Formats: sequence, C-alpha cells, structure tokens
Amino acid sequence: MKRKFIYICLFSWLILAGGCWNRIEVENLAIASALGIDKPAQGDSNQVLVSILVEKPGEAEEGGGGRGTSGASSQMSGWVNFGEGNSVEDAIRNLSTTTSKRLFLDHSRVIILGEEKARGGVGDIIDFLVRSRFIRLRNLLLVASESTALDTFSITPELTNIFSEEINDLITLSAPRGANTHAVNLKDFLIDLSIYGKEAVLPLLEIRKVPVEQSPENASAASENLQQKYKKNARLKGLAVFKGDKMVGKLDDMETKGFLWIIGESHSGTLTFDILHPETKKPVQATVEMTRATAEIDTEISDGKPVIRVKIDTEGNLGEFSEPNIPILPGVMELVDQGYARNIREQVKLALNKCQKEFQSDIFGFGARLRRQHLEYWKQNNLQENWTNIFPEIEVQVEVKANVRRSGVVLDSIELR
Amino acid sequence: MVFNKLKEKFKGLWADKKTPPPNQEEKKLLSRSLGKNEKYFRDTFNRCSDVIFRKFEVSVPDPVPVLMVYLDGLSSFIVGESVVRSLMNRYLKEKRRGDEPLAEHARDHLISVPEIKPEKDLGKLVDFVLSGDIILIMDGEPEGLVISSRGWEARSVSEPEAEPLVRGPRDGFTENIRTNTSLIRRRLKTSRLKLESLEIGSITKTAVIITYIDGIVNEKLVAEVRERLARIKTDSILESGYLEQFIEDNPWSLFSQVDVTERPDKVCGNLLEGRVAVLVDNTPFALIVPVLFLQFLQTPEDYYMRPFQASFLRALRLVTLNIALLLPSFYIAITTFHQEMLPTSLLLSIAQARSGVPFPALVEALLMEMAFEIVREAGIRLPSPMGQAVSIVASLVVGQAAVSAGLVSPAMLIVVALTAMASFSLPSSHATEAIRLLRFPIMFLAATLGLFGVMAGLLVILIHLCSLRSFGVPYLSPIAPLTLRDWKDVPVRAPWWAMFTRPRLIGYKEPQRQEFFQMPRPPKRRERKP
Repeated sequence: MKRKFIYICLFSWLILAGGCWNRIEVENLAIASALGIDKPAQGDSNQVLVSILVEKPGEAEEGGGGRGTSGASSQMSGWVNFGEGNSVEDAIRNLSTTTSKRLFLDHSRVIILGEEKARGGVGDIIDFLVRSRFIRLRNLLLVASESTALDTFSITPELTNIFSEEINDLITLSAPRGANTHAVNLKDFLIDLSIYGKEAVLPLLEIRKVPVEQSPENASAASENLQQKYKKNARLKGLAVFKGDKMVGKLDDMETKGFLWIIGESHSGTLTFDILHPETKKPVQATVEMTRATAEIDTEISDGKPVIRVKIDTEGNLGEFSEPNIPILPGVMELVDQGYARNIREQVKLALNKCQKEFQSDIFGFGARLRRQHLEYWKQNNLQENWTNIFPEIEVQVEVKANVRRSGVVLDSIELR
Repeated sequence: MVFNKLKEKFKGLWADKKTPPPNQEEKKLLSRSLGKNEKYFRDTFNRCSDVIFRKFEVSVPDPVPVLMVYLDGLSSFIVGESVVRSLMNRYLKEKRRGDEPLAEHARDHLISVPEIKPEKDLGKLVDFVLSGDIILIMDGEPEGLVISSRGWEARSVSEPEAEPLVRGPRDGFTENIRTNTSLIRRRLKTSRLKLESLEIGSITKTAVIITYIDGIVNEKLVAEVRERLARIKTDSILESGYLEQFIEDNPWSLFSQVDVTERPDKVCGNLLEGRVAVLVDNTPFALIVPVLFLQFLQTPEDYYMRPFQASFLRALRLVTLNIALLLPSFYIAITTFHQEMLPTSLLLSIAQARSGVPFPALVEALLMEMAFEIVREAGIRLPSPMGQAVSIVASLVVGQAAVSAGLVSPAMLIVVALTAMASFSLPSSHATEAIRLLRFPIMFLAATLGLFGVMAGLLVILIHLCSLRSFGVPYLSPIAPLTLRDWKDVPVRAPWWAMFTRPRLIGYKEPQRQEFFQMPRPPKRRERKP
C-alpha cells in the first residue's frame, strides 16, 4: 500500500517535472512568417533593426478567395512590425511591446538580411540564429538587394497567400528552372561560414516595381497617391557574395549561371549562342535547353602551385534556331555541342574572373576541396591563413563536355517559302 | 487496512440480521394424503394468481382423485391438454395390476408425454412448477409426477441488432437458453460439445450453461470458470452482465476482460479456438472467456470475407482505435503547445477558425465531446421513430448553430465528428467503452502537458493493458507476450487454408485444426483430364 503510494507520487512528479509549460492558444499567437534583419538607418551602428511579417489569419484566408480585391490589404500580405535593440534577442523583446499577441517565430520560413546589414557583417546575428530554438535551420536566407529587409515585406504575394510562402516557392520551385539563383538555407550558410576554403553566397531578392493597370474606377485614386501606381513584386536576381561574414559584391545573372555550373547545382535553364550555318556559314542563333549537368572539382599540385580542374558534363535538348531553314545534317549537332560548351565556358570564366579578381572570394569551395585532397600541402603552406591571398592567383582549368541529345519533336524544321 | 476494517463491520451487520441463509428449509416430503398436499401447495402459492390447480379423478378402475398444478403461461397448453385427456379417458383399456402404484402406472402406460419423472420432495416440486412443468399428485401415492411441459411465448430467432454483419448467418440468440443451445449444437454436431448446467441466484434460479468443446479446451480453464461461477452467492442473475462482473479477473479495470456476443457463429468460432462460453437464461447475450484485447477489433465477418479485405479492415480498425482515443487530445496538444508542428497554412486556418471562440481548446473539446455523448445517449434511449428528431437537433443545433454562434470552431467540430465516427467503427461497443472513457483523462493530460502528457497517458494505459489477464491469458497476447505463430490472425487475417493452428495460449490442447498445404492450385499435368 505504502509502496504503491510512493510509486504514484513518483510517477506524477515525473509528469509534472517534465511537461510542456508554455501553454498558449493558437489565436493568441502572432505568427511571424518572415524575419528581417537590418542595420538601423540612423543611430548606433551596433544596434540591429529586426522586422517581422505577421500573418493575419483572416486575411490569409480571404486572400485565397478574392485576391487583390481588398484594396489596402492587397498592398501587404500581413502586418509588418519592427523593433530596434542592442541584439537580435533584445530587438525581438522590444518588438513585443508593440505586438499585442505573443510573437511566434517558429513558422518563419524566410530570413531576409538588408544589404547594408549584409555588407556590414552578419557575425553579430549568427549566434542568435543558431542558438534560438524558434529559428529552424531550414529557413531560407536572402539578401535584399539595394534595400532593407523591412522594405521587402511590402512585396505583395501574388500566387500564394503568404509572403514567406511566395519567396519559398520562388526559390525552390521556379528559380531552379532559370538557373540564375541558388537556394541557401540557414544550415548551408552556417556551414559555408564555418569551413575553411569556402565563402558563402546568398540569393539576392530584388523588389521589382510593376505599374498597376489603370482601371477607370481607381485611376483617380491612383493619381492622388503616386505610390499606388506601382505594385511591388519579388524577383530573384543573382547572388550576394560574402567574404568572411561580410558581403562584398553581387553576381549578375550570367555570373550566377557560371557559378552554378562550377558547383554542379545548375539544374535547368536555357543557353543561347551563335553557331555557323552549315551551308551559308553565317552566324545563326541556337538555344539549348539544359537537362542535366554534373560538375567535378579536382585539385592537383603542379610546380608547387595548386591547380584546380573543373570538369562539367552536361546534356541538353535543342530548343530553337533563330532561322527555320537549318537542316540537321551530320555535323550540325556537333556544331551545336561545341557552341554549347563554349557558351558554358564563357559563363564559367565570367564567374571565375569576378570572384578571383574583383571579390577575391572563393565561393566555389576550391580551397575546401584542395584541403581535402592535399592536406599536407594545405598545412605546409599554412593555407588556412593564406588561402584568400592565393586564391586570386591560382589557375583554374575548365573542361566542358556538352552533349545535345535531342532535337525536339522534329528533325528538320519546316522550310519557309 | 481500511478494507479489512470495513469487512469486519459488514460481517457484524450480516450476523445481526440473522436472515436464514437461502435454500436451507428442511426437506419436506410428499404426504400420502392428497388433501394435505393440496393444502401445502395452496399455502405455498398463496396469492399467486397464475398458478392453476386442477383436480379430477382417474378411474383405473376405481376412481382416484388427482391434483394437477402448473403455471399458466409457462406450461404448454397442448401438453396439459394431452395429460388431462389421457387420464380422464373413460374407456381406459389398460387395467392396472393390483400392486402397481398408480403413479408408476400412469407414467408407464397412460401419459403420452416424452419426459416425465417421479419426485417426492415438496420443495423441488414447487421449483418444477415455477419452471413451467406440470406436476401431478395422486391420492395415496408417495410420489408425484413431473411432466415436462415448459413452453411459453418467446421471441423467435432473429437477426442480432447489436452485431449486424453484411455477410454471415442472420440468426442470433434469443432469451430462451434452450433455443440458444440448439443454435450452437446445430453448428457443432459433435458429442465433444459439452453443456454443463448450473443454477445461480436464490430467487431467480437462473439457468446458466457452461459450454466448451472437450479435448480442445484446457480443462483448467473450465475448472476455473466452474469455480468462479460456483463462488457467486446472490439472489438474482437477470442478465449475463451480472455474471461478468462476478467473474472478471480485474474488476477495477476499465477494459472488459470478458467478451459478450449474441451471435451463435461467434460463440462457435470461439469454442473451436478453445474458449469457454457461458450462456445465461433470459438474455440473448452469451459470455466468452478468455478474451484478448485485439479480439475487440475483430468481427466474425472477418473470417467470412476474403483475406485481403479482412486484413485491410483490421488495419483500419487499429487506426480508428487510435483516432477514437487520441484525436481530440492531439488536437488540443498541438494547438496549445506545439503550434510549430503544423504546416503554416493549416495553423493560420485553425487560428482563424478559433479567432472568435471564447474558450480554450480544452473547454471547447470537452463541450463538444459532452454534446456528442449526450446525443449518442439520447439516440439510444429514444424510441426509434424519434431518432430522426435527435439527428436533426444534433446536427443543426449542436453542430451548425454552435459554430455559427462562435461557441466552437469548425475545426473542433471536424475533430469531434471524426472521433465519433471512429469510435462507432469499432466492432465491439462493449470494449470501446473503455476507449470512450479514457478519452477524457487524456484530453486533460494533453491540455496540461501537451504531447508529453498524451504519451504519458498512453504509457499508463499500455502498462495497465500488459498487466491485465483474462482467465489467466495475457490480455495483449499475441503481441505481448509475443507469439509470432498467432500473428496470422492478428494484424492480418490469413486465408483459411493457411490457418493451421489454434491460438497458442488458448487452444494448445489440440493445436492443429486442419491439414497443412491446402492452398487451392491447378491440378498437376498428369492428373489433368484429357
């Protein structure tokens, strides 16, 4: 009897000691879907400005029904709030003085860094992102190109109800098809920041202003308010290149493609290049739709200097010629192959040049590869310290094996009269 | 300690009352004088308007007064008529030898009824009258005759309403224990089917029959059932539920350790697996022991269907068992503690649905669960023509109006409705009452401790289930303790030609039930006819 009593006590103590105490009802949560981190415009540069985009449940729902019709709310997908503080945690606490519900960060899927903040260095906020139990490592990181994170929150989601969902889908579903951006989540970013011989990149988010169609009834309202003329759209444009924890520059679309070729993350996309017409020998534009690409980075030491070999192996389908009268003769596909390979090489060179000469930032991970393959060399030359100095000088050999396999549903195009 | 004290106290009370223990009246024998006997019976059945006394004379050859006593309504009219007619026949050809007792003569030569026996004991004669037999007492005879004439208005065999099947026999037990035994006997045509009769209850004298198949059943089990039934000292057994509570292994468990059915095919299937069934008079519900927890997720139909569908349905029932037990708690736990576990858009729609609701999720869930239980109870208690009214009120008022009035969120309504449907989909309502009751404590645990509480509650239930036994057989077998051989009939239902053996812990006396390798297959080439 006594024993039973003791067991019951022990058991209930076990339950009570280990429970989840933070009980809160769903409707009392301010569900943040995106987190923005900026440098404050004025004031102490050590401070951070944290902005959040809180989804309003009702509007997210209504958005599904009649999107864009509800005047003011179509401007913003949720409610934006911001707060300053000495640290991110501090800023978030300060935020809560202006947020009527409990701030709930667990559902944020996107973290946006203002460009100024990124250029100033992200070292001071990284620890929060790692340490906080609310931030998931699967959050996507982006840099707001030439704007602040706070501004990007004014982007209207068009195809989804939630801003973060829109950005997420943009990066994961549609961007790979264009091969001009690269999804980086928090975990990848942290790895890039922490390993030797590799620098981080983040996709750039640009705010694109699209003129709103002037329908007669809102034309007058629009002319009163100039800002109403534009609708803000999200656009992914290139990559932000980091050196250490500081952003040093941007890669444009072509350079981004080159970067993706090298790291083997190019999944889809089109390339347009000139080939010589097999009969008239005039330049003709060909477009190839890339279907598969792998890349291999190999390092070797020759004459005491590291040489990087990048082997790119790719396949594609013929998309179009700019002239219809091109017969697919023997040798034409070889011409296309060569043009394809040449084009890839050009893009790769662009990216390499920019990173080696201008940014001196090894975003490709050549150093990391070298370290893994030639650890002795790495240690002897103290490359852990010196790699950034050597990187601009090293030789990179690019070898492209391109193969255009299919020519669409026809062989020869129709002949125009 | 406390119990012992209470026991002492009650013992005292028992002794004080000094009620004579039942059935201890001194044995009274039949007198030779008919007048005395008649007086005895008339005194015994004083103010019993349904007892008929019929006095007439038999002349074989001298007239002898005879008293016939029986209960109106319980004795068959035809038998009574034939008795009277055969005795009052004036032209009796048979003449009794001088020394032959009249009772013997009447039994052997006059009364044309199959079952008839002499009886001296007055008390027993009274019992026979009460059971519906006709007793015949003759002047000057030391023995009365008991003529079996039990026959009364009874419900005919009809489809069991509590356990309907799509495919399977349509007959169900009735209130008449003889009909019930005949339904079993018709299916098991073997002398190994034993039916042991008992009588329980000092007033009701309810007939109870322990039935089993000799050779398959474990004798220790039969002895245990016999012993537990013999222990019962009560005045009444009105339904098998009385017995069930007297013979359970763990009376304080929410989980029933005795199976109940009104299907003779289910009883026979269980007897063939080595179980014991207890039939009780005046109720169509028979008890089956021992029972395993997983049996409550099975229906007799599982064995009549093709194995694929049966296996799918069993898997489905496992799912619905979990839904019925856990869904409201999961909803509460996730919406109040673990919001990060939901997809964002789902969380947003739940948040929107809940935005106007004045109560926390637990109160909301309790409200709706209580409403559901009320509707369900009302539906059972109301006469069936009123059922429609209940369903309209329930669906319109409790469901729709509650949502549009903002008392509960539509999400909660879905959860409660799904839970209700899941609990209805479980075959044995007898067993699911535990699930129904346990839902509430787990909901409280979920609301105070989140998923941790749900898991803690589940563990407690699991530990309890592991410790339960039904007549010595572990309740969770063949899962715990593991008997892989029996898994042919637990997560799936193997085809009949693959069910070679009986359950190991129950039917081990004669484990093999059929020939091996009877899978139907095309004949071999040389056997094929040209």
